[in-house]
Amino acid sequence: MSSGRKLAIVLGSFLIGAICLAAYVVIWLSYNPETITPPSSVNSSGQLTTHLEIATVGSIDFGVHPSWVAYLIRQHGKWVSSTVWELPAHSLIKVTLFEYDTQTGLRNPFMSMVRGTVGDDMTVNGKTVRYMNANYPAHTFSVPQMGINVPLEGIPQSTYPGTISGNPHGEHETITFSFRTYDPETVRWQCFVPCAAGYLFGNGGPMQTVGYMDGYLKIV
Amino acid sequence: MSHRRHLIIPALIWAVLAVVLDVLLVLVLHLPPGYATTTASDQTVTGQVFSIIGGDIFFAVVIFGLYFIMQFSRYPNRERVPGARNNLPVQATWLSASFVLVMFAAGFGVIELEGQTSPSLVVPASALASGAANHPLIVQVIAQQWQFTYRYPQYGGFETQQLRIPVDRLIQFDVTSLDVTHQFWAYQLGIKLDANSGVNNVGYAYVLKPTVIDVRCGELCGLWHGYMTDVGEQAGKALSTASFNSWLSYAESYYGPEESQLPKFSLTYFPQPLTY
Repeated sequence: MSSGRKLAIVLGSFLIGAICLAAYVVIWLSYNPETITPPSSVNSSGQLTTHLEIATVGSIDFGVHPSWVAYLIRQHGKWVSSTVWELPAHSLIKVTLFEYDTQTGLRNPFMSMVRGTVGDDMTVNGKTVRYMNANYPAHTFSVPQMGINVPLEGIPQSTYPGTISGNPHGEHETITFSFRTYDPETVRWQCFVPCAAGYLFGNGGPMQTVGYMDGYLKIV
Repeated sequence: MSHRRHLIIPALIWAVLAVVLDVLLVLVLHLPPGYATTTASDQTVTGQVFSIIGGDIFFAVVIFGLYFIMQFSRYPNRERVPGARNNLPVQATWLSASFVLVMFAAGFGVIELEGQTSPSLVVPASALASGAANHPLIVQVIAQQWQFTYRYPQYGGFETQQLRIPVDRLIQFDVTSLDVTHQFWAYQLGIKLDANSGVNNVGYAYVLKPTVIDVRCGELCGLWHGYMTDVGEQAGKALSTASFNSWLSYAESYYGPEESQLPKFSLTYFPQPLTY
């Protein structure tokens, strides 16, 4: 083989590699999950308050993975599939969460304790709770970088189906809590109940896909 | 002399640069992981020693190489370059220096390893009789996707998401996992321990001074592996004895009510169930 041919092969290989790398970067940069900005208001004392209304379901019933567990957020009166939420800095975030999924239980019972919220507690159907039986949570809302952990009590197993659309009686638990944001940053949040049915250790699929059981809080 | 100057000149240049590099490495540059623990100090000193040796060799090769290229590149015939071939003193010097360096590296490693003494493993049950200062403090590190939590069996077995340890006391880390393989990497402590479910991996640290402890997962464990960290506000801390005791009181009261929810302390916890 002539040296010219060898050189051509080497340069061609580098060119192909560079094109593949560029394509990967473009695809990675173009991945932009929908970001939802919940409504905010300023109270009489000047405190900026943001209202976050979210739901958790046993199966989302639409999209690419209709059987996956998921978080939903209410936007303009409709439930939207998004787990990337933009929140204002130095704000009080008031969360109302509708838990439609059934009780699963925690792998680590340490996550049954409410931490990092205002008052280190939450209300479940109007009752103030600081920690619960480790078998009751269906999911958790946890932001490790902010020290926040909120176990979300699920509906009893006997009252399935655990979705919104297929739930004739609309059975759910209503959970409320508040937490504060500080300086602008982007933090990730996740569920600590290994609730991905059919995956080893229950932590695959929706547990590792942004838009279902994980997401980001963009504090701006 | 005209030939010897081709050795003396680059040697002088090398000597100056080598001294500058050595001073930087010892006095100025921070080599990881620092001096917070005896383990970390040993690692830092080892890094300094081999950085000095490696850096000096690198400069010698580069300086002598560049000098000879610049000086003798005008010679069209290699045979005219003085001392270019079959120079016995140069060859002997090169071989001797290489031999000395290799022997030094081997000796250094043997001496360092001989100096390591492994503390006796303390199983929590035998240490529960007292949390006395002469016992190592046992901290169980529980890894799960994707957060580290820490359990203190000698103080009721409460669990916390923030690592707190005292200085001037031997710490025994019992590392395990609830699911996949993780790695407990406490940077300032100079320790890295794999976390496997069903396995108790033990490591030790003796902290010399109060310090922040950045904890990271060092074993790819899923989507949020890169975020499985305790840094910034969530970072661990090595505290003075008084501060640690104060924190213990706070933690026992804050986390104590939840202890009834926690399983009985065990050296390992196998993930249950395996699938949902």
